[in-house]
Amino acid sequence: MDPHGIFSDLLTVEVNTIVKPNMTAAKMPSLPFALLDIIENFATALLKLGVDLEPYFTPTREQCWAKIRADPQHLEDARASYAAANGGGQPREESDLYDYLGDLWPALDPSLNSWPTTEGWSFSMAGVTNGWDSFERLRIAALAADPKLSAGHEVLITRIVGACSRLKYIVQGVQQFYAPAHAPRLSLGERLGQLLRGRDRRFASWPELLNKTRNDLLRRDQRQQRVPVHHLSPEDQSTVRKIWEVGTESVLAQTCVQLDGDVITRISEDLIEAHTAAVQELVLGCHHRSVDTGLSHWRALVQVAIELVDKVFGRISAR
Amino acid sequence: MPAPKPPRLAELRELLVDLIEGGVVITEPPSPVEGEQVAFRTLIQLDGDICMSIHAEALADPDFAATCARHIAHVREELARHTRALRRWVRAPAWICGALGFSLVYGLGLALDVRGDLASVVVHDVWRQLVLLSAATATSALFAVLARAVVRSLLRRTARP
Repeated sequence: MDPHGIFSDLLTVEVNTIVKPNMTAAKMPSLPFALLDIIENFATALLKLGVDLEPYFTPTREQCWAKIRADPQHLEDARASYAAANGGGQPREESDLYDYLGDLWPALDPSLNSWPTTEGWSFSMAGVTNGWDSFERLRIAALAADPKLSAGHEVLITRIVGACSRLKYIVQGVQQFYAPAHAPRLSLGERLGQLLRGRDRRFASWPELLNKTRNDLLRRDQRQQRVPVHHLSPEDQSTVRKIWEVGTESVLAQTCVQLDGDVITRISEDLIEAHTAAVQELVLGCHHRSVDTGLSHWRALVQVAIELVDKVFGRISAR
Repeated sequence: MPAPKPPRLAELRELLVDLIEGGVVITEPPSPVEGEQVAFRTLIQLDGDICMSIHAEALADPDFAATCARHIAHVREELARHTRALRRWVRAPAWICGALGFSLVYGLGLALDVRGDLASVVVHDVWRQLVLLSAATATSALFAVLARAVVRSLLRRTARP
C-alpha cells in the first residue's frame, strides 16, 4: 500500500448522514458475500427505476468473450494489460484475457447488440456471481438507462456507476493477481515458506471466493477457512465497507474537513424538499454532532502519533 | 503502586482489526436483538471517516434528541476505548525495544512465512507500514545520535586553543 495513500486519507475527514427506512445492527458479512449484497442492492434499485436488466445479465461470459474478441482494440488492450501484469508473458489460452478486459461495452451496448428477450423474465441473484463482470454489467446498464430516466435519478445513477467502477477495479485486480491459470507471484519468503510447510489451509483462496454465486459460496465447505482480506489494502476494504454501508440511500448531509482547514458541507435537496423544517433541524443537529465526534477522534489519533514520535526522540535526546 | 499491566496482544489485535478491517459499527440500542431495527447506526473507519445512518421512523419519535445524544455519547466512549488501546502501547515502557524486536521477528517471519496466531495480523499491510515506520524512526534516531556525537567532537576540536 502506498504510504502516500494512507496519509492522504488521514488528511481529510468525511462525515455522512443518511436516513434509512429500514436498519438493523447486522454486521457486514465476509467480503465475497458483501459483494453479492451490493450487487443485489444496486440491481434492485435499477429494477425499481424500470431498468430492464435482462440484456445485461443474460449473456454468459463465453458469449460476451465471443463478441469482444472480434474487437481488435479491446483485444489488444487486454493483451497489453496481461503482459503488464504478468511480466510480459502471454496467456495460455486467449480466453484467459477476459479478466483483463477494460470494459464489456462491445458485448452489452444496447445500440450494438440485440440480445433476445424473454417474456416474463425476472431478475434473480441465483445466477449472478461476485466477479468483476457483474459490476461491469450493472455499470453499463445504469449508464445506458440514464438518458431515458426522468430527472431526479441522476444522483442515484451516478452513485451506482461510480461504485460499480471502483468495485470492478478492486475485484478485477484480485482476480488477475490470484487467477488460477497462472502461478501466483510470491515473494522469496512466501515461496520458501510454502516449500517448508505447504499452502496455508487456514485461508481460502481467491479463486474459490470470487466469480462465485451465493449458492456456490454456501455449497463449498469453507466454514473453517477465513477470507484472506489482508491481500486487500485497507483503502480497498474501506471502499467496500462504505459502499455496503451506504448502499443506494441518499446522503442528506456531508461534511469534508481537510487538514489545511478547508471545510465543505453539502446538503441534499432531498432534505430541503422532502422533509419538514423540524426534521431538517433534527438531521442537521445529528450531523453537527457527528462532525464534532469525527474531529475529536481525528485529534486523538494525531495526538497518539505525536506521542509515538515524542517517545522515541524524547528518549534519545534525554541522554 | 503496582506497575500497570501491559496491554494484552489479543485485546489490541481485536481493537485494531476492528478498525483496520472496515471499521467500527456502533448502534442505538447498543446491543440489539438479532434482526431488531435500530434507531442509529454509525460506522467509523480507520481513516476517520464517519457514516451515520438514522432510521426514518426514529425522526418521528418525540425522544429523538435524547436518543441521538445517547448514541453520540456511546460513539465517543467506543472511540475513546480504541484510542486508549493505541495510547497504552505508545506509553508502554519497553515499547522501543518491543518495536525493534517485533521488527526483527516480523522480518524473520516474512522470510519464513511463519505459521501462528500472529501471522494473520502481521502480514497485514498496515502492520507492514508500522514496521517500516519503526525501522525508519530507529534509523533516523541512530543517525541523530551519531550526528550529535560528530558535532560535539568537532566543537571540542575547534574549542582547543
